[in-house]
Amino acid sequence: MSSYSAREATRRGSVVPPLAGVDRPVIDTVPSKCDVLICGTGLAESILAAALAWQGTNVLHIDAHNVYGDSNMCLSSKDLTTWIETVANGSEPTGMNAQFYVSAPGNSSSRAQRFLFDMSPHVMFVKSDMLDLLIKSRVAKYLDFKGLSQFHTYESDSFEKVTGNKEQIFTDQSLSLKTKRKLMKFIKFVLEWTIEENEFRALSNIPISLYLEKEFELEKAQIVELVIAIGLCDHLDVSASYALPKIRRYLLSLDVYGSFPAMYSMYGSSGELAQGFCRSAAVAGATYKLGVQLTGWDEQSNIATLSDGSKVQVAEKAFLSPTQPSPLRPLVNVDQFADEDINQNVPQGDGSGDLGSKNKNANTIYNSFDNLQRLKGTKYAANPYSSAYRGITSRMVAVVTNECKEWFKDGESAAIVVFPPGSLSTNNEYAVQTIVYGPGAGIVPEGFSCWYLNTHNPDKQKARDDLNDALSKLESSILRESNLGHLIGSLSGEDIAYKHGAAVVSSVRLGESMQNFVPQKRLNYLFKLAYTSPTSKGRKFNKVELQPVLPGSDTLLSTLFAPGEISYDGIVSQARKLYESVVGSDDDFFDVDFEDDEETEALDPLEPIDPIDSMKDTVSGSPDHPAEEVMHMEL
Amino acid sequence: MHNVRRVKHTEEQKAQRRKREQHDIQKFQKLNAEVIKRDFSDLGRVLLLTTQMLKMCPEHYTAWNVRREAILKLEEQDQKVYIDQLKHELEFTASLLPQNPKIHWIWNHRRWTAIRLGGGMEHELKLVNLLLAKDPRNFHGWTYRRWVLRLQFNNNIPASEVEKELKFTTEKINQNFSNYSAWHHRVQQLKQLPLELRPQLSAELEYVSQAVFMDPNDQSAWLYYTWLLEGDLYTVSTEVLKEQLDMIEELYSEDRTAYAARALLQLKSLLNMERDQKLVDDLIEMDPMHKNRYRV
Repeated sequence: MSSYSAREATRRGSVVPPLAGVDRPVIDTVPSKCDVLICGTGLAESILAAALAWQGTNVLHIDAHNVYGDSNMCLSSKDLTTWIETVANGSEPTGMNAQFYVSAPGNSSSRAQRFLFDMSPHVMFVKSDMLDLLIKSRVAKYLDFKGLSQFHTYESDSFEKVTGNKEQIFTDQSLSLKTKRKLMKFIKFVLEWTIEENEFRALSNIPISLYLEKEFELEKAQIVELVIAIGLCDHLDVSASYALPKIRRYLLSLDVYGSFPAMYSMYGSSGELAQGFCRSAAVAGATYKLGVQLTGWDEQSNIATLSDGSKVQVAEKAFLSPTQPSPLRPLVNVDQFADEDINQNVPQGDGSGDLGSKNKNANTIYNSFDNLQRLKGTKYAANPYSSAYRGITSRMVAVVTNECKEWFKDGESAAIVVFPPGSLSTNNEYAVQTIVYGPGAGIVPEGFSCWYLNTHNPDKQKARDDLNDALSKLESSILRESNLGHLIGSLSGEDIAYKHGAAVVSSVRLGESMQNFVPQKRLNYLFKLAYTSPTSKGRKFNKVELQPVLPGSDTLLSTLFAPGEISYDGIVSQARKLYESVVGSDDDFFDVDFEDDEETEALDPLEPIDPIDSMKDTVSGSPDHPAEEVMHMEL
Repeated sequence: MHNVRRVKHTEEQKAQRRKREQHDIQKFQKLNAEVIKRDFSDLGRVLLLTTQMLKMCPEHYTAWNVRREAILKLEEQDQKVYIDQLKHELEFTASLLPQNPKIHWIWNHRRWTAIRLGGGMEHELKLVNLLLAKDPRNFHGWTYRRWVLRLQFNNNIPASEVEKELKFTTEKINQNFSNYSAWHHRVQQLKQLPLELRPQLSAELEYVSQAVFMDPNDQSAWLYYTWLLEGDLYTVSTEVLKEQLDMIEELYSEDRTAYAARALLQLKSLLNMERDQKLVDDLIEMDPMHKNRYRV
């Protein structure tokens, strides 16, 4: 469970409603009737609960686990041990293949107690439906956000900072005038977005790498950066219609609240958000009970039986998350998922942007590109369990004895590092994405950092190998940088000299090859954990058909697997889909009129104001020493 | 601030707003009647009235004038109270500027106060830095910055300070090169630097080319580029001109903008080349508003 508590929140001046099982005891009995029963407190389910509760529906929301979040759980080290025991001992036959390493077994020091483990770490693009919803629903008020501006790409044994905005392109001395021009042209194109509907649909058959090369004459390095780092896509052959909106979300997110494209919630990501929506639902009257699962369902009477023996009459609909244990059906095994994915040819133009056989001759595709107008996108697959909509996500979490400050922008505590396809010794087919959190993120204490790696390779074993290799690259890189740090020092704008011809300074912090580097000090792992979970693919779920949990049933429906992406894309769309299945349409989804409008107090007209102090309130940090800002989103 | 969308209001919203503002309008009229009386029998009262008035409407220049008259009368009465009041004026204007960074009368009043107080200008530079961090394109801030520097060094700014300013413009231009004020400030600094400390022309050309190439539709960068070529400060050799001509011709072939065409005409004329009538025609087509200027 997260370190977040209502007491702490009250201290910072906002009002956070209490929640059963977090800052209130779990109730003994559940009500005997409800309109909608939701089993599983994952993020999409929690949004559903809040949306329904505010709309006036009587919601009973339960979870088989003793913490909130379901597959989005955020666990303390103690809860983590319990989770590992359940999964690794095979009592949950999910094939997650969890592997856990601890540096000194049995030595659970007091510091280790202060770690938080985020089962599905996320970062949020500033321009996103999730942030809009958080603000609209006022759940953002229960959370603390921090900015994340550093995206790194790993290529040829070194990390490069991503040149994603005008300032970075302008000051990047490794790019030629011509490249800068092409890049700006492309960025303008993406931002202005004047592309026609049918032309865009035709782009579902064009790999993004080919599109950028032919249409914008971009070079490989820039394409990799745009698609894999800025767009956070899995590989260069995803369709252009899939990748372009992903590149666009990064660019649109810049300079909305500051120079960072992404933010993250402190003390855990999707689990914190899920908890926030549950708090909101509770305010609107939803009932919560943890540690109880759905054990029986009577289709005739719509009566649900729970593991605590209670029976609940459900008036409208009941939902069971696919990751919640229940004797009604077996849990989905990751191995089944993976095998299908490798053997099946993914249909073209699906929600995931995968173009199926990646060995297609590029020229053949490009010929079809010439006839864009004639092409039509193939229909989306409607079954959420078809391979077009779901896959597996393999993750690795490591807590290390190094704060990794070298990777963060001054004053920030998190960064993204991506390993493009083919950049690892394993010749990885899929990109490996990493979120690095330092002490300021509220999940590790000082002196440590936490690395969350993930990849979507459908082959579990290959995925695991890729993750291991990426981990070792991260390790040698941080050792090299912390060693060289005091020799080079950090370079500032003043060091940039424009000399005719060759660049004077290339990559500012991380440029030298890691080869032949022998670390002088070792990096210690506090723990390392690898696991694989089933996830959804794609961003739009409005066309999927929700499946019944039991054959023939139309009242007890299964919710969808949480998307495996590190952005929140797709989750709001899932929640809307679930909402629509209850209400009939999603028109009034979170159409809530909150009544309390806090009045701001007027200042005493003659009260003396210290000029510089009063300026600080309006200007965020000085340009030389930006202060790390914790953002409380206001309406 | 730049890039903030103007919100359109419906008639109904406007009517509601008028109703809401009725109280403020009455308050304004009452205050205004008092302020323009110029009744200096009670200076404290005048200061209080103008404070309320200017918080409500910082563009009320008559109120600023009345306030200054009152402060000058304070000087005749008690020197210490006068100085304290001036210090308060700095706080007062600083409290208004963040919300109203583009109101000339606030800047004007601050200048007036700063001159009378004299002394350290570090505080003023700090204030400008903060305001320029918030909006790096606010020309009021940039103008005030140059004024402070001249005052601080009595019109004789040492080269080390000018170099610092030059770096400051680099910092701001790097953040967003579409900034007329920052390029202009750069020109002003270069003009003050002795020849041996001035950056090389080639370095400056290379620097501004990045911007011109990245966004050929950005006028601010072109202005600096054409100023450099004009030879106002640097002697521009024929080789450099030819090199630039090649570069801009390549740019123009890919992206036909009026700015590039104008730069080409300028380069050709500096090279004493024949007037390119085709280019002039194209330019008139792209920028018909200035056709008479191009025809000359």
